[in-house]
Amino acid sequence: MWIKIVSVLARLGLSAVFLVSGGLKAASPADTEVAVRAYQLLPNGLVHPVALFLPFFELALGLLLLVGIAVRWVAVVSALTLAALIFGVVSAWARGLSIDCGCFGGGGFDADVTWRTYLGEVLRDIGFIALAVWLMVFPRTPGALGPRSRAFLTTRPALAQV
Amino acid sequence: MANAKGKYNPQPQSSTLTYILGGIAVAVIAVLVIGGVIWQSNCTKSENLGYVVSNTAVQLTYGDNGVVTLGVPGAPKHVEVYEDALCPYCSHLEEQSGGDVAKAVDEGKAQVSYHLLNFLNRGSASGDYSSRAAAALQCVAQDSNASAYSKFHTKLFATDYQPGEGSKSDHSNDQLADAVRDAGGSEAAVSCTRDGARVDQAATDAQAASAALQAVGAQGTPTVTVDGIVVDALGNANWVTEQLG
Repeated sequence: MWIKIVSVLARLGLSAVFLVSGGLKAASPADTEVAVRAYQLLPNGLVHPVALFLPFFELALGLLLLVGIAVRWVAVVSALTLAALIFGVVSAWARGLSIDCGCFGGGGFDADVTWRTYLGEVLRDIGFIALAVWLMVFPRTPGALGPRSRAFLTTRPALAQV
Repeated sequence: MANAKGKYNPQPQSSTLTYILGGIAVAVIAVLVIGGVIWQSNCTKSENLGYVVSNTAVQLTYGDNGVVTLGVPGAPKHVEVYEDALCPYCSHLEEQSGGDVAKAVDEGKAQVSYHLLNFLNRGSASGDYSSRAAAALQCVAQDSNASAYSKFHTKLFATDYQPGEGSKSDHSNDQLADAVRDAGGSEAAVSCTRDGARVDQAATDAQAASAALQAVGAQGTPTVTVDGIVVDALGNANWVTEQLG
């Protein structure tokens, strides 16, 4: 039973993370575009499309997790997305850039960023990946809508895990 | 599917209702996401992307403190833009609205004045890129050729030309001079840029621009005023149509 409680918390927690991060990015497209450009990773022509899609992609992941559809696959995509974002932060760190990650809105050059900032961002994202990995292993939760994502909060866990 | 697991399977059974609800939820999410992308794409897209001043009736006025004004004489509205050549949000604004402003200038609806700041010098690889870029604009302005000025100004803020803030390289005076030539600047403007002839003057004028920016009640760049009133040009992509008609 406690596994399902953790799964519910992981599903709703990860959902909240994506809804907030996607929502803040979608609310200020100029910030998002400046944030994406500041990584200096993408060719000029790709900055705008990525800045346009990323917020709504995050919102979609957040909504799917919130209602609980295809939780295992959404968790896989979430983990891959977070891994890509960690790559971006680590690459900015390694190249000596001094940028606000723009993870939850904002973004662009920031002279006050230190290695502690980058390390904190990476550790935080690894924590989010841990939630996603938990959901890959235990995707079934009470209150989820998808047929393969639902579970009763029963006291018969021995039979519950298929 | 769930039934196949046998009668002791404790997982919830799927009913038609949950499939319908699941389908509706997926459809709603898809509409929200795709609709959001399309809506935002339309909001930030300029019909006049890349448009530069080309009407020969547009005059270039070289005012006090290096403020350059483009406009057909008697144009009713006065747009003033405060920007730094290294500021990424300025680049974003120019991409979003620069073409719309140039069009309004060509159509005689407005004149536009550019105040160049240099507070981002410290964020450039050379340490004085903002001043040198502002100086290059002054060199071009001395030609009194509004079209060349508009072209060079657009190039300077283009996302594929502007150096990254905090990046390891920017443009040398020679490179700026090449851009001046490409934009149609005279040989005098090209050599003025290459020699950095107006860098000190541009740095002095940037202080005046900074003071003027504070006087209108704003702090950062880009700031846009129409007839002296600050408008939310970065947040509202339709400001040109709304303000200048």
